[in-house]
Amino acid sequence: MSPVAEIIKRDIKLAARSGGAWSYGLVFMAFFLALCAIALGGKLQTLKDLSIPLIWLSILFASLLSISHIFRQDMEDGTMAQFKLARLSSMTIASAKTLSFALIYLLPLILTTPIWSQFFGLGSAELVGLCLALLIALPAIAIYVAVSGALLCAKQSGGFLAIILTAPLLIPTLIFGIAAAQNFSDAGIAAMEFRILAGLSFISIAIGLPASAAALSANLEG
Amino acid sequence: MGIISYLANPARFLRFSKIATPLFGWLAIIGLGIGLYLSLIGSPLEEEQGHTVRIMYVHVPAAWCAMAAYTGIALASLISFVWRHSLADSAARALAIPGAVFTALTLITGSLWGRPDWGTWWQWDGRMTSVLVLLFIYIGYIAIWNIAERKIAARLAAILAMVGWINIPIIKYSVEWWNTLHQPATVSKLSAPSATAEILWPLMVMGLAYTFLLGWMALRGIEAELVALKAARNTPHSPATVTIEPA
Repeated sequence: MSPVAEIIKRDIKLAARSGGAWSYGLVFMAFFLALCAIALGGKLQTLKDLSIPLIWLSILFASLLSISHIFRQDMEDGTMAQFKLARLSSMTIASAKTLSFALIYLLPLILTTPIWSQFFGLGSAELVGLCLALLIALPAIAIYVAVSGALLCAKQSGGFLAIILTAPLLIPTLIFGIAAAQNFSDAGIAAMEFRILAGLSFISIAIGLPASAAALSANLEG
Repeated sequence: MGIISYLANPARFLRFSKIATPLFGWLAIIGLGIGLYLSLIGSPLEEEQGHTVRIMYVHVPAAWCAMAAYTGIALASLISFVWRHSLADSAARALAIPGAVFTALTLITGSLWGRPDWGTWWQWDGRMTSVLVLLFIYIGYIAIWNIAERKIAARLAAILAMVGWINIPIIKYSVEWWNTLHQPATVSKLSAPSATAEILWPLMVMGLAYTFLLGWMALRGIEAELVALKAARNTPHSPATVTIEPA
């Protein structure tokens, strides 16, 4: 079994044994969206227009709040040092941890979006567009959060800093992701925004994974 | 590459900066003096905008310096990342705060200019939004210098600066696209190509003066960092003391 698959298997096993810690992101998302709906007055007609941006924001914040699961926890308990001793390259570790983060912490958020979208009375066409846009943007979200995670993995508390570092990088994804979801009912999956979104995800793979690996190396050397 | 490897030696750099720093400082003072006279008194009024057009002479050079400083940070980061020159780290760090201040200055002067002209302090206009994002990137960059000891922090900061540098054009074009999507009525901008020589001269003098000011601040920053590093190296460790208390 390849080291990447091995690490992902281990992370899934740990998440399953964590007593539900993996689901805090989901709970946060539900709370955040409910609070937004209450704060905005609770009229479905007004909420409907805002639902796609709000769901996008809730997913971005939920993923940023689970940032310590990507690298920091393994850094603290010495797992990372063991990976290094096992002669895994930083690129392997970064790719594996980013993948397992996307699978365990991000995918559930996207898969449960249909449930939360009913808080806002979202129609089915918009819902399909939203979920597709989120799935296409998944690599970009996971990787840019992972870059911050790798930069900050030796720091005890870096919640605000993680948001400050990640937010500028995710602005294009946010802009095109929301536009793609909103245009899905008109242009379908062929909409220009979906292609740009896919391009942004590819760029994030090209830039973000090496950057995470380099940041991880820097933190492991010190 | 020659000049970079030449200056990478701190002793040689200090010899260079001993001449260059005061030169930059004086050129900045002289340039600002001439430029401010030309732009505030010498240049003509614009027909539609009146005196508010003079804000341009402090606004445009600030924007130029904000971008130049980030380019400098990205270049220095690349040099530090590839060749591990410690001086490149100092250069990148020294440019960060002046760059952030120039970015903030761009936003503030732009806002002061926008109020009489557009009737609002802020517009989610493509350029303004991307300058705001540049300020966010600067803040993140400055913050990351404080998270670890210098050697590691320098490397992390270099990685962040390079990732940010690649992303800046992507962010800029996304924001411009987003802006045209959401605001068909874009605010009219000063038509730069048609600017006459009377406007162009003061602007160029101010641009040069700002650039020298940025260079002076960066050089002073590098010198200060070198002094601090030297002091940290030369601090003798205080002898261990033991206090024996009677039981």
